[in-house]
Amino acid sequence: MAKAVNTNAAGMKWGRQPNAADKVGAEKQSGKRKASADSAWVTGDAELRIGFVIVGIILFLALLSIFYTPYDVYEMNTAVRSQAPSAEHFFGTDNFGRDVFSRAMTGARFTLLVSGSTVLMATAISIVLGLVCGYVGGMLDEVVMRVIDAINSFPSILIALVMVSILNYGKLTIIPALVIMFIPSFTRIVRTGTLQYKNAEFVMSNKVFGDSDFRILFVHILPNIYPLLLSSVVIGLSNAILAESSMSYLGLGIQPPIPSWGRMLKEAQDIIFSTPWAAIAPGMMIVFTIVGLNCIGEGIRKKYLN
Amino acid sequence: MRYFAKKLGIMLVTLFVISIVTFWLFHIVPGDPAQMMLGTSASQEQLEKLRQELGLDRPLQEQYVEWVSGSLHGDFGTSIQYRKPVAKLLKGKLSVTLILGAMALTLVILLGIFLGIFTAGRKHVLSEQILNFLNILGISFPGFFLSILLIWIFGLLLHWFTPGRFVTFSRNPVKFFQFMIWPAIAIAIPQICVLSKYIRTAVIEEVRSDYVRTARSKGSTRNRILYVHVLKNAIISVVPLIGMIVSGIFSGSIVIEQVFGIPGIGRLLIASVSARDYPTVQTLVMYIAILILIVNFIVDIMIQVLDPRIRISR
Amino acid sequence: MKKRFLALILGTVMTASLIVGCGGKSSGNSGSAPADADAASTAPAQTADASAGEMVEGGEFIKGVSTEAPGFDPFTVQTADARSIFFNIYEGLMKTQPDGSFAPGLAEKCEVSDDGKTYTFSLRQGVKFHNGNDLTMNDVVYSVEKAVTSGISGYKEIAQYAAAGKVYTVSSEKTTNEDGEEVEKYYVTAEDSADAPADDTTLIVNLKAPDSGFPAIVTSPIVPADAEDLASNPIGTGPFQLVEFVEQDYTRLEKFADYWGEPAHLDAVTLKYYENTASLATNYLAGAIDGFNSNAGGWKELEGSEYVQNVRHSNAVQLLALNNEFEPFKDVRVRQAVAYAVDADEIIEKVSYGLGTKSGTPVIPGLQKYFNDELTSVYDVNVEKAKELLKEAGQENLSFKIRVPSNYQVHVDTAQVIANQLAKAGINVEIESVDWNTWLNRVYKESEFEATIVSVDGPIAYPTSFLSRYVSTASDNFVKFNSKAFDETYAKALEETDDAEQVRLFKEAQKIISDECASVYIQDIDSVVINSPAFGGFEAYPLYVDDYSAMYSVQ
Repeated sequence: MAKAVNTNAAGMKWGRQPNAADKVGAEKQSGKRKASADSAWVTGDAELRIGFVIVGIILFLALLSIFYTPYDVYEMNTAVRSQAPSAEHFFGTDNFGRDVFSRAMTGARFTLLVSGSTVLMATAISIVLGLVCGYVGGMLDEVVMRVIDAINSFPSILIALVMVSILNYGKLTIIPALVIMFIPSFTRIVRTGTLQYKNAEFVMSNKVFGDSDFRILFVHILPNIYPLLLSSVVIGLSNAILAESSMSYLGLGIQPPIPSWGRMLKEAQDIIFSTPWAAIAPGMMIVFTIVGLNCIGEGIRKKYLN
Repeated sequence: MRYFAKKLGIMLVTLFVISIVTFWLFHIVPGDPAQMMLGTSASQEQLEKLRQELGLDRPLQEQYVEWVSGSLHGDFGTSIQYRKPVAKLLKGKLSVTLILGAMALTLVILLGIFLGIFTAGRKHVLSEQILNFLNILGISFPGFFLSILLIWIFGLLLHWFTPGRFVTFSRNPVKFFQFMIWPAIAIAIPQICVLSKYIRTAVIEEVRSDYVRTARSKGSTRNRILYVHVLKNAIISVVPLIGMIVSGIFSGSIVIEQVFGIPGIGRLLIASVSARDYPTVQTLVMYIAILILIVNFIVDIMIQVLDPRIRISR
Repeated sequence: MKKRFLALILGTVMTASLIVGCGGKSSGNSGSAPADADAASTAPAQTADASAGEMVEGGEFIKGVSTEAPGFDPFTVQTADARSIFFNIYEGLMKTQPDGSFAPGLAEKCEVSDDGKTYTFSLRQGVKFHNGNDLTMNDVVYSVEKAVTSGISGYKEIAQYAAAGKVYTVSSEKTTNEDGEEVEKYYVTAEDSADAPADDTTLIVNLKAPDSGFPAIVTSPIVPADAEDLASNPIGTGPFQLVEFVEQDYTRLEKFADYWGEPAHLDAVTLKYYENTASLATNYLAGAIDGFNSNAGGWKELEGSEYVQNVRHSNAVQLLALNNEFEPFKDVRVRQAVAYAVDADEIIEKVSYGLGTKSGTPVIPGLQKYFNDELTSVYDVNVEKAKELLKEAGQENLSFKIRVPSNYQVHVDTAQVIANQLAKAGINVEIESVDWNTWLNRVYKESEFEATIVSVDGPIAYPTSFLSRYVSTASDNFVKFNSKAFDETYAKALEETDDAEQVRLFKEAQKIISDECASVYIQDIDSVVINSPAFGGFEAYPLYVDDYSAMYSVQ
């Protein structure tokens, strides 16, 4: 029985990364799609295009905010408290008269910075861990997998909460807390891929030719895992954004006055009756970004993994 | 049977690892619970006395052994924050969260299966692209944002419920459910999207499979095929997802209890983490971990029983 | 459109202080007139219409709160919000009045000797505890001893007390705690004595030194001698008794039927717990609660709905606390530069929506008698002067971190305004928000901070509760202020028996704090108490308390 695909199993929650991710990833979708095979939606090109446009816009706003924002992000102006969206203030102003659009731009920068570096670090660690575990196997593999199982049995927010409180408060405490959250799922993917390829013919033949283990791992095995890993990483990135904003929402992420989307939402939640746009704008920014990333992830999966 | 024993063994080992890690982690955290309890104008003498009373001055191993042996007897220690037995503290809260979780899970399974099959129907008004997009949209809403929107729209604007006025089940069951349905929806939506997509794909795969073709050629009606054969297999294929969904529901409810102000274990957990209430946090973490381990264990066994063809590669 | 209904009740009516026994020395009037006049002019709208309905007995009032009492034992729990609940369930020998004076409570009568050192209390008869037992001298003696050994502020000034044929002597002993610091422990020894009053209604207290503020101290609770677990099962004599406390949910008080005084009008009061102050307004709008204390503009959310608004002082001073031991802040000029760079008026306007009273000293403006109002404008904003002072001190590139408690939105907001203000004087500020517990531990207790923002209140309406922490050896001197001049002046003020001279010395002590710029004192943020028009009878006190016994339902 074909086990259906489930890219979104990884993306569905910023919760724990399920076994399904590797179960699914390892065995590619078997049901070939017929019919209009050249349609962009089937090849994944359409998703990729939409995704890149959305992520491109967010990225552009984030980068632009380094040099320019329409208004000062921190300065409070009581003359324009709680203004509805208008030509002057695209997303309106908050209860301190700060321009919500400018803050959302800057928020994009910090949110992307945190989630990007989180995923990058987790990927680097997981590649090494997964390759080694899959290749060496034995006791090491057993121990690492048990630890990963243990981490996996927690809802990830629990891990993040625990980590943040242990690591103390600091500007970037959130990063290591989130890195730990993502290692298990990425490691599983790399490990499963490694297991799959380590006895493949081309790897065996290289081994016969005397390639070092290091070379076999990183030159021959790793590139084969890339597409699978890449789609998981993109989905992971959207999870990281969800996680970062949840933690900021709980007051455990980026510190004020730096506007992060989660924190903006937290602050705006209490004025939602009078100033709903202050909550909706950052909320929709989060949704928009995650939609973009999920589209890219879906696109990659369709294009390279079918 | 060997499979069962192996799974059980793995579960116990994992549990042991978790208990040690949890205990150790919460003792290297900085923070003095005694000061928290007494507030800013407490004197040094008051603090010392309280610390002694709470056993915070004894060695770590001693505290661990005591904790484990106590837990086995149903004694989870004394909450530092509330100065009462943790077991007593959890009594009312655990049921609130479990009911919330059960409500969310029911919604997820019912709606997930319904929508999955509904959208798998061939001549559907919604095109594949729109379905895909709706699905991506659904999983992209952070739970807390969804909750805020529900509170704003249905609570403050439409007055369909009173946000912030949680009523216990025993006091007024009707009001309890009227209130709890909203957070349950917020928790369920992303999971429904995941599940319905999974089922939809599974159903489509099933329909294409040999036995359906055979059945059809034998003259079974379309509905009969869809609901008897296909659905049965689709539901079986959902079982491995349950563990993941339950974990997702817990993750969701930890944050969402906070947004809706529901006095469940999620809210208690966050309060206890920031109050450095070690015994309570340890107990909660263990509770959640055990619960999820058990669910996963049951799921593994169910898979084995329902469909021996499925093996999970470990 | 709902009928807009707003009433602004000024802090309190200025009345001549009541002369009742020991109440002779009233500790300031609550809500100084000029301050409240300010508040009135900036308040959103006032339709002084308090006679909207008729008072009816019964009903339940649901108040939204953002902190839970960490237990109900009045001898160990000292947070401001817990004290507000204690005010309704416990009573002391004396009782604080809305005007700041002290009326007899469980003592029917109180007499003070001419030298100000001996106080004689007569116990009120026929008072019942919530558990049904009668109040006896035994309970009073037990409670006083408990207060002494628990280190309740002011009780260590007692030399001896005598009742029912026994004399109790307060002694102290120095011991070393785990950190190697010397601590003083107080204990009580009892002895039979013929000098002690033989009846069981009289209590005589001898102080080590005269203290006309003593009536404020004996407002602390009297509990039954056989009380076992006050923390979870509080038993007092107050008009309300605690019936239920559900963690993370609510605290329920019910009317005590056998109350000795005028019984409460309401049947019950529920304190519904929410995670932060800012969310209370939304919950009021939703109809989940009947009232809440709003600061930092929460009431702005209520436009268009029905509510009664009472503006009063919060009776706590918000300050930008500077750690005097942080290297750059060791130089008084740097501290002054920060003070000149901070614009308190702007903070009041932006964060408090104009509802705050500038302070300039750690003493609350509401404590009018002792508040040194000459200090309010000493450090009015002057960016040039700030820059000059920094240059003199060689700190042109000053940079520091403000650690702010995250549960108080008002302080987080203030930090953001201050960061902008200091930037104008070339001072770079980083904000770090930490949870309340971390704040208590690292900032308040260990003084691990460079600067922080918090509001400091006092357990009693007397200047010592605001000034004692600035004594260089005080354990709660979290800003690490160290001034010989202050220590001496403060000690002198404590011993002074002449009222006018004592007031002068307390004001002098505040001047020293201001001159040396111990910290930047911003404002007493007005607490805007929002109540549903369905309830009346709100009373403002010069303390951070809510008096539910005065409240009633309106129909």
